[in-house]
Amino acid sequence: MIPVIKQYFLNRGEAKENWTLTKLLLSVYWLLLLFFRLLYNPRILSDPKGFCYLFNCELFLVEGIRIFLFFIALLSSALYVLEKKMILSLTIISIISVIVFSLDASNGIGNIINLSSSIFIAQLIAYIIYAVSKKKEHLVKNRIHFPMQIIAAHYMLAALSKLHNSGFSWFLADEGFALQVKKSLLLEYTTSGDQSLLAKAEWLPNLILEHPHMTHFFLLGALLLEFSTFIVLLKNELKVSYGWLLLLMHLGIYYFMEISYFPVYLVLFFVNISFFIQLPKRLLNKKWGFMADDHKDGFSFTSKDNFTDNFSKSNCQVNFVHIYHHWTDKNWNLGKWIKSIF
Amino acid sequence: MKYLKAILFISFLSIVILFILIPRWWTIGSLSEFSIWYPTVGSLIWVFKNLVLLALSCIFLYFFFQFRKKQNTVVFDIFIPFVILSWIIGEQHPFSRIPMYHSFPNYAYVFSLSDKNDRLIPLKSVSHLGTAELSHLYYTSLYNHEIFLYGYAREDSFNLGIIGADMINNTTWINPNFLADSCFHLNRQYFFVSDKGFEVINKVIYDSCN
Repeated sequence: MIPVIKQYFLNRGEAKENWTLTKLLLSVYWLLLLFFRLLYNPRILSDPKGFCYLFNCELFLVEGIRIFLFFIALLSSALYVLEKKMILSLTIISIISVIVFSLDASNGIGNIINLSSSIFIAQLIAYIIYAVSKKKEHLVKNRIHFPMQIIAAHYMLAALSKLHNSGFSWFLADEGFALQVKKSLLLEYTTSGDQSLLAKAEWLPNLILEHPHMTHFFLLGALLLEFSTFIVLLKNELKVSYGWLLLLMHLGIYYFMEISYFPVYLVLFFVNISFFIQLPKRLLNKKWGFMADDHKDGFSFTSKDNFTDNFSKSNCQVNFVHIYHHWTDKNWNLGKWIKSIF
Repeated sequence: MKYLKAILFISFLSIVILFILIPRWWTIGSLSEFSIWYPTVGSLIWVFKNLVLLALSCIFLYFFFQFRKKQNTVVFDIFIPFVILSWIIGEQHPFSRIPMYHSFPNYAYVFSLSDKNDRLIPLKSVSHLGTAELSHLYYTSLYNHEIFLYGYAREDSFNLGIIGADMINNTTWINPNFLADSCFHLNRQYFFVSDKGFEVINKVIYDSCN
């Protein structure tokens, strides 16, 4: 079990299926975001941002246009998941993403950070580089590494903003932090009417005020974590550990401030989820699933329940064995042994 | 050479940190501003500053391409342009400086809806938005009305009336007739920390009953 955990945290044995799975989950998540934004969000352009700052977006407030956009997004995502016409599909996806999330940020609410567009643009760049250079090995690396760079850049920007606006003393503002925690909890209370949040908004900020050193420690930790995320770009072995640390940080923010932002992109690009899909195979001990394939090099059956193959090298005692070939061959040693058991 | 590289790297890092902490001096401080700040040697300092910046940029580019050549990868090819562009462009999707909680001032506004008897109306029950989004509408409206003196309850009642109406008009309601049919107040609670602990001052900024 421990070698498996070590293998996971050192990001070894990343499966080839990872890319397909990442694409599939990314598309589903993006389409869901698009669906809810196109359908439910306010259709107001009180403060044009992004694409709507440069071009008139009134057209995209029309119901029919929104449905058409979603339909095109659906088709492009299908092409993207099937790895067909990647430059075309990623270009369409990127443009739709920029339009929809610009519309979303233009209703006066602003400050909604969405990495989708930049991640798709980064992947588009990876495919354009491949189209020019024709180096497949670069594509395989870049289409995962470029989105990782985008994610790391966002954390770097978050850290730079803090240093720029508050200086190095950002983490020492325990009173201000307690106040923001109170505000966030009360905003959730005034949104939902949940009385438990009102109680939490009483005791939690006071607890923060009573333990300033602990608060400084966690805030400094968060700042350093954000600032140093770029290290994963240099050392791939740190990717999974950083992914989990950042997820923990977001979990902490959720607990303290009820800010329900789930960093899907960390799960997709840092946490190596394909590992979990392969986990049963990795965990299954030879003892409980020995493949007695006579056609495999190195396979041998010595006596009773002693087996060996190229993987185990030495003899191993098994409790469960899958038998292939020679099943009815009574002259075969293994066949004889099985016959003696039944 | 090893020590020289280390010294150059540390100097470059220090300049980047100064860039972040006092950006006006290092980046957009003009010749005339330098002449005002340092009446006697302002022009000289300005020229020197730009020469230092130019030299450091060249050193950075040199080291970056050396590193790139050595690694034979594209480790920062998206990362660095994206950080620089986001920092310059700011809050324009898909770029952002990620400004959330970049500072913790000693004031916080909490918005809520209440009925004529001052009982809370959970915003979720009447709108697609939450009160956190109402807060964003508040600051956007302040910006659109060019009210730059805000926070710590410094906004006057006249301006608050305009902002309150703006917030209500830019909110989407589940029942489109809610505005016409209901009697409600939009409240702003101003929280701050004093020696006594948390304190709060309430203010109604929109009253649909009158």
